[in-house]
Amino acid sequence: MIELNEISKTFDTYRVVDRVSLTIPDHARIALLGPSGSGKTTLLRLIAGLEKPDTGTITMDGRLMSSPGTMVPPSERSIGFVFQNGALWPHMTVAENIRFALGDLAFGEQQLRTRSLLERMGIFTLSARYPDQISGGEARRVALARALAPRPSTLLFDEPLTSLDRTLREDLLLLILESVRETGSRMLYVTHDEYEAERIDGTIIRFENGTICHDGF
Amino acid sequence: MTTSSFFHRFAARLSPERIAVTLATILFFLLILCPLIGLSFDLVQAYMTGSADITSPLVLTPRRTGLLAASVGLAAAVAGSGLLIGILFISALFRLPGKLRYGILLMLLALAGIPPYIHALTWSEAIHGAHLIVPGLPATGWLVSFWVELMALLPLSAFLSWLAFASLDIRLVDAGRLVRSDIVVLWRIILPMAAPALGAAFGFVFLLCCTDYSVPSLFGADVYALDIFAQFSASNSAAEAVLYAVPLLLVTFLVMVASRAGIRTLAQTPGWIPARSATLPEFPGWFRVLQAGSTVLVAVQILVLFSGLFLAFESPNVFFASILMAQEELAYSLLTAVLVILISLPLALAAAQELKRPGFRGAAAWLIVLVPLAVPAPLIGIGMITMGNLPFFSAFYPALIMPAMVSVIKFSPFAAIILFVQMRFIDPLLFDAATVFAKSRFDAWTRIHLPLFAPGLVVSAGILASLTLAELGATLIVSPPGHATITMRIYNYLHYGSSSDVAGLCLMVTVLTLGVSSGTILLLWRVSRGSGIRGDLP
Repeated sequence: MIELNEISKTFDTYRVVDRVSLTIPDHARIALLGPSGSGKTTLLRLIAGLEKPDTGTITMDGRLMSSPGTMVPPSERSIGFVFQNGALWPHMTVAENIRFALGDLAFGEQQLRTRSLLERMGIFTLSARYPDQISGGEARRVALARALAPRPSTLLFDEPLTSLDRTLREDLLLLILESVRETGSRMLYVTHDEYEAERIDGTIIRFENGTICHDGF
Repeated sequence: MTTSSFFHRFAARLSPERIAVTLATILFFLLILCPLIGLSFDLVQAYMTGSADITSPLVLTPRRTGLLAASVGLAAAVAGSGLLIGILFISALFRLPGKLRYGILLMLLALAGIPPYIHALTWSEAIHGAHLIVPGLPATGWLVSFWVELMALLPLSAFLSWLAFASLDIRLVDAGRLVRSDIVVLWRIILPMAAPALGAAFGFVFLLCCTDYSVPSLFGADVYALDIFAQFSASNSAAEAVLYAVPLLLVTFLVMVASRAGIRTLAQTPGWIPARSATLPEFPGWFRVLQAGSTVLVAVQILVLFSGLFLAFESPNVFFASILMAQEELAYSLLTAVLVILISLPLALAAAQELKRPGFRGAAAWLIVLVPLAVPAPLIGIGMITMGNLPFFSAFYPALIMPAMVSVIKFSPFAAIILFVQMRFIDPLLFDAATVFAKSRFDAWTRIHLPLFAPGLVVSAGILASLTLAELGATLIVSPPGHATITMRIYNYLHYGSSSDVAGLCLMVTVLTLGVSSGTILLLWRVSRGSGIRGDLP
């Protein structure tokens, strides 16, 4: 279970996240729906440990992860993150991008896991290509595979289908939902698209001006 | 197409603005190639008339081979070590709060403008002081030259390392931090992604070091760039000097071509100013020790600079006396700097448009704009004298402004690159809107174009002034008899003068350079509203 307790974050003088409290149970699927600039991405980054809260605490499975005086490094939080536009490392091939996320495993196991993920995502033939040699849709599949690679307990999605056409969005959304179901991870999916939020088939939380304005629980 | 419609379209394209920009662009590229054109003419003439020995300068004697290897080795060691220290220092800097971090970066930038010979003076004082503790410490030679050159270029190396780090897409770093420790992310994500920019930074520092002789010559290290000057002084033949320079030119052009792509990529990176990591990186103990070591070195460099000048400063009277003694040189230097700004900025503004072009034309422009960086300073001076002595040009040889001309050739490319970077922050639609709404072209230029270009123009002017005040290698050759810049005077004093006079003048130049840098930063802050820069500065 992830618990956010009175979390706030201010950039310069603008309070982007304002005293947010939220509980994310195990295996939950949550869509965080809100307009651009409402603070959804910052909330995801706070959970991932990429931002430090000004006030409040974040605990994961009983362990304190973030507070103004405590920060557990992002790599120790068992989190998979799918960024907008993929955020693939340009100097690594598709396979290397996935393998990098499997740092703790022996090389042989890394190879096996990478291969199985590439096959699962339907991009095995692209394994030796670099990010600039694949399409936008393929890049999102690689990003999803990379997020799934270390078998994280929490999967965070930051508008992962932005700037894709409708067919691709539908295919990828199905793939995301199947993957989440298979892994049993909890999922927090940020979007500004009402249709995408409904397709998640879980709890919808509406987020505006840095606060939760409708809790779907 | 009918003849009349062809002429109509041709005439429509011949707007006064377009003609001015085209002429300025041509003039810019011709000007920066001027020394090489002059040298080529002289070489052809010498070959045709047999007036100079053009075979023996090409023979690489064991002495020259050794000198070349030592000079290249010195430059590579300075650039490599400087960058290594810079990377460690900047990685430590990312733990500091934003405003303090930017403050230190701006200070590094201001310190980078201080001429190397001032560092030579302060380090010379420090080494003499260290003799009291370690009597056998060498005061001259290659090792001391390496150390002083390394420390003199350390602020620049550290600043370039920051630029390389800041050019990265922070989301890619964040993506790495989610799955691996910060030290692994540094090795496997940050450094490989920053490699082209770091390579460009290495090339830049290498070229600065390889083409200049001012610091090594003060510590008794006879580098290849100085030997070119000596060859010209001995033979008075530009052709022999250029042939003598060929081995060094091959190295510097190779490095310049290799760095070109990295410099261009760095200049085209979408958002290098706002890059920051939201949470502090955690590095292992051994790495933190290295970071602390690099921080100590940067602090020592700053301490030695200011304490050296302070200790050598005897009294306000001596200081003012040394300024009065050199007032003519000071006036000539300031006049030269103003002239360089006035000539360079319009030409660089036009040339920056050319750097924006895609394809072969853009690539060629980038190659040419970096040429002055690869030409040793004495060769630029010799080339300009040769050009001025050609029959057509000798009638109006501009003796008094020759120091300004060599600085324009050496430094206006920096202005063009800065303006190119700044143009990328401006939405092109703003210019279209100006065309629609402005009452006249003049109105559009003065009220829209120039204010939008102002941040780039201010930064360029500041850098041009700092670099011109510090220029020595080419100015020494082209300065007319009876006229010297302040840098020439200090350089001569460093060899023969009294230490209090040297210290007084060096302190004045330091204050002047820091004043120019601070003024530039303040002015940039005032004029950068709406340029896409202000919001990202502290």
